[in-house]
Amino acid sequence: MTSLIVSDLIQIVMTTLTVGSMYALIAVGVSLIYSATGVINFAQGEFVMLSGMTVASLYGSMGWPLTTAIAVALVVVLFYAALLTLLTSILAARISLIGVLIITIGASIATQGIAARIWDSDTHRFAPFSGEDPIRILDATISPQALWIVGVTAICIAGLIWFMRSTMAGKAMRACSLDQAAATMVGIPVKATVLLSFTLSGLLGAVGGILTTPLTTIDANSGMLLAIKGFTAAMLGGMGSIPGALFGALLIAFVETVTVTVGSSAFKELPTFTIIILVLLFLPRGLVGGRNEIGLQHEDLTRQ
Amino acid sequence: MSILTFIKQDAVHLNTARVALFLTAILLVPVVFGIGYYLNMMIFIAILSLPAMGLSLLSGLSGQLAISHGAFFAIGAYASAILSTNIGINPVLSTLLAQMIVALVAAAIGAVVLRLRSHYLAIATLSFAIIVELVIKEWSGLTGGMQGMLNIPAMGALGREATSDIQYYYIYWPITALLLLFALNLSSSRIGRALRAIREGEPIVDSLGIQAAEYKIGIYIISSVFAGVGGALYAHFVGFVTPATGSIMFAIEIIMVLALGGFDRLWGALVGVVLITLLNEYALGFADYKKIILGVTLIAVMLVFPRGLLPGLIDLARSNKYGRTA
Amino acid sequence: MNIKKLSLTALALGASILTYTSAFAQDGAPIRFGAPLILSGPGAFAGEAGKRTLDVLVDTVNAAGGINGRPVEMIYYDTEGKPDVAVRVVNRLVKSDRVDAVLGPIASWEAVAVKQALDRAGVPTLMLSATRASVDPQTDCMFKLPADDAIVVSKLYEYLVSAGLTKIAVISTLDGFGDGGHRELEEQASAAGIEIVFDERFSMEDTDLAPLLNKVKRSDAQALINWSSSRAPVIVTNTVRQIGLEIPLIHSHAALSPAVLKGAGENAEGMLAAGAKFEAADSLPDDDPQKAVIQEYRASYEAAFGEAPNQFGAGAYDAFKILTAAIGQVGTETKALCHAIESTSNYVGLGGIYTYSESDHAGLGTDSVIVYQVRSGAWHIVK
Repeated sequence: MTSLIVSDLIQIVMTTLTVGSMYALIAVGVSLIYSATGVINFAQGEFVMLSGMTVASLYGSMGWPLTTAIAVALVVVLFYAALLTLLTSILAARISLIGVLIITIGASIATQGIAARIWDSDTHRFAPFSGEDPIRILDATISPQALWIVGVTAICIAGLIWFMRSTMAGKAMRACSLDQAAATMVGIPVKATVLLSFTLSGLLGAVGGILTTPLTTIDANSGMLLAIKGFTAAMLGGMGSIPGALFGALLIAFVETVTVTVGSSAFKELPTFTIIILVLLFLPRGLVGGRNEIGLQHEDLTRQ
Repeated sequence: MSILTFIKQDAVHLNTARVALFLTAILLVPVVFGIGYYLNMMIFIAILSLPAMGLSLLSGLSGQLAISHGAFFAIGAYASAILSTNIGINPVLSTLLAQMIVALVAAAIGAVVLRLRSHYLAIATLSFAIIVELVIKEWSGLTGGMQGMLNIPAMGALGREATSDIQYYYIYWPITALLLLFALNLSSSRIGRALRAIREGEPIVDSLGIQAAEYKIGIYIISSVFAGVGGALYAHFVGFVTPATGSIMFAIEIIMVLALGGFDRLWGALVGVVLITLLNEYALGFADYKKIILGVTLIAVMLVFPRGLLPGLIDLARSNKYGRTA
Repeated sequence: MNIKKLSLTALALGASILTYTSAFAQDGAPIRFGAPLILSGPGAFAGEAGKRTLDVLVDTVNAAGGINGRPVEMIYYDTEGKPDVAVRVVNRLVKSDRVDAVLGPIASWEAVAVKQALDRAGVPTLMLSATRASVDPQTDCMFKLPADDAIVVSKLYEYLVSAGLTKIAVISTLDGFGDGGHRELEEQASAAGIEIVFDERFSMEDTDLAPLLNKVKRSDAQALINWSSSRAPVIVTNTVRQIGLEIPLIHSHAALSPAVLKGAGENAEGMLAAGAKFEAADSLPDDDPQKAVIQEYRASYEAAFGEAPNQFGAGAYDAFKILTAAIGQVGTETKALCHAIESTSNYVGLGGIYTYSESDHAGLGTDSVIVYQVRSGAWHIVK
């Protein structure tokens, strides 16, 4: 009986970490772009979809080496991130927040359609990096791929935090997120900073797609739901804060896992979204608390 | 009635004249073109205009974006469907009763989430919409679960029910026109002006003695009821509802409608619905291409006409006109 | 000339024009079939196979001079896997395109949704969906082709009891297909001597099913039945392996497709499913009348499209054959056509041997269903 409870706990912790890592890669990306532009990027899930589908077709179907396939996927995502930067920040310089939000929705929908044409609408997957055989701890089982997901995510996010705190470019990004006008005045190239945010954010999404596709599968239309999960996680933790996004992602994953374990899988999302409404109400800056809120400066979404 | 007393009479007259002219033209269409499949599309336009007008009212008057209109469309549809199918209430009555349910839910949710703004309000209303969708899927004893509800009675009363598209056409369009007139008048009423003042900056408004919170909840309820009426009309027209009715994707589609029609234009909402309906209809069989066309159109419209397609075109026409006269 | 005479002449003239045009319509005017199929989104592979099959069949019929001299015209619409879109396209088919008959839709949740619209319009319909609900309750002119949940469940239970597995866990998706299967599994259990010890629903959008399947692992179930379609069987199969759940895994007939085998790869080894004989024609006994028919279809499909067909294309094939045979006998007048379809008896098709009757619009019995197991990457007959 005790071993059963212990196994349950191990299983809950492992599933939380795996699913939480997946959400975190998206949530941190959402948060980065929000810091730089004040916009929620609805197309965030498309980074995941594009990289997952690219690797699935090149490595999974066509038999290319895994590293080459991953390299191609990263290039694809970088191009896509640059395109998004162009659409949402450079061309859309004088558009209301809601306008930019709709541009990202438009980009997400168009990308789904294009991906369904390039590949198809079926579910895709490729073999996990270290085989399918589960690792057993007492009665709990973990897929080796889950260890890859948790490990690589931890490295990526730690690296990102170091980058933001210790490099010039990272400091410039933080300065821009605090006050764009002031950043411009002290000579920080704001546009380049925005491009850098999109690039980093795209890379995180790409890593997510490459790591999780063997476990969760991917199809042309997966992106938008992932994006919704991602920005709810980011908002839960506090928009604009990287540790916040990470915390929000893990919390959502934990609540979902516990709900499924002790309750019903059909109700998995009910507690999550109830918690989100409550957190927004009582801690509008999220559980961890974001930094200065560009969104609050633009309270009116339709104002240009 | 009480609203009317606050409105400048000439605004009411102008609105009434425009809507009356519009409705006359709409009602003459089948007389000129006869009966055809296009009626089916026109009925959908009448139905979908309602949630779009509701959201336009909210975003136009308060500058805020809610992603809950799909959910209220679904609540209106399911409530009326359940009342008429399971309890046997007449569809006209059930449509009205359903709106009381919508208004109650909107009041409760509004009281909670309207303290938030901007992206936070958007995400809170999105969360609410996801919860509604889940409850509909799960409460299968009442809602039929994923399979939805079938064989919902057709719209009608006193033993006569609508059986053909042309009958629905002549029942639904006057309802839509009436609600459009109501929305236009509300927008130009004292209430509308007060809401715009709130949008500009609440501290000033508070000092003038306008109760910002109540006004905001009021407009949120009205705007949600528009969506609820649309839902009930939808249910009694197509005869079935599923959790896809009013899903998140539907809510996003309504936002797209506003992007095309302009965020603060009630007439624009109608234009947006026409465009989306035409696209949906002519892209049938090409779902992937439809997504590409829709996505690219949205991006292009936002980049070229940031305030929406219709306001953009109107501005363009005006500047040309002035250009010529000058 | 008095008015009476004039009007009589006009009437006669009118009548002759009418007879002329209707004779003309019988002669050369095309027969129009509408096919609302799922052609995009997850599940598009099913609609695609149906469309390819129908295209070939239409070409063949028209090359041979059509049906009684009338060419066949096929109108396809994409239902996108959404019930509301399905209803819209069906309305367009019956109101705008004025089709003589409808073949489709494939997804169960679409089939159930369009039933009312088709019944109101009175258009003869051959449903390609795998749920009994598409013809239950029965309507005048609606028939169903693929093996459905009712007979598949009954076959599965028969197999489980014979294998001594009477305590089962059931997971099913929250959609029309899962609903239908879940209902049948529940209703038939006690009569078959099966006890359902675990029963939970999940969403098609769920990407992580480990917590759900871990609960199954902790129950005392001897077998797991997964009633889901599209990509869900792949995710279930992979997760079952990933968490090390070792009781037999049994899928519904929706999992019988090459796409599922491909998606699950090695993990598919040993899993079971029940469904029509279509997937294992080569291992059928030679005296099975379906063997030759299925082999021929599979060979020609593979030759034409370079990949294996699936049961959804097979359903479309049978529907087209049954429908055109009936039209060949009686033409396209609705009442006569419905009656002719209803009189179809012992038609040897790809999905089974069909016999419709006034009380049975499903046409198949449990003898058309077999139990499969995956061995070395292919479906093999168990029973």
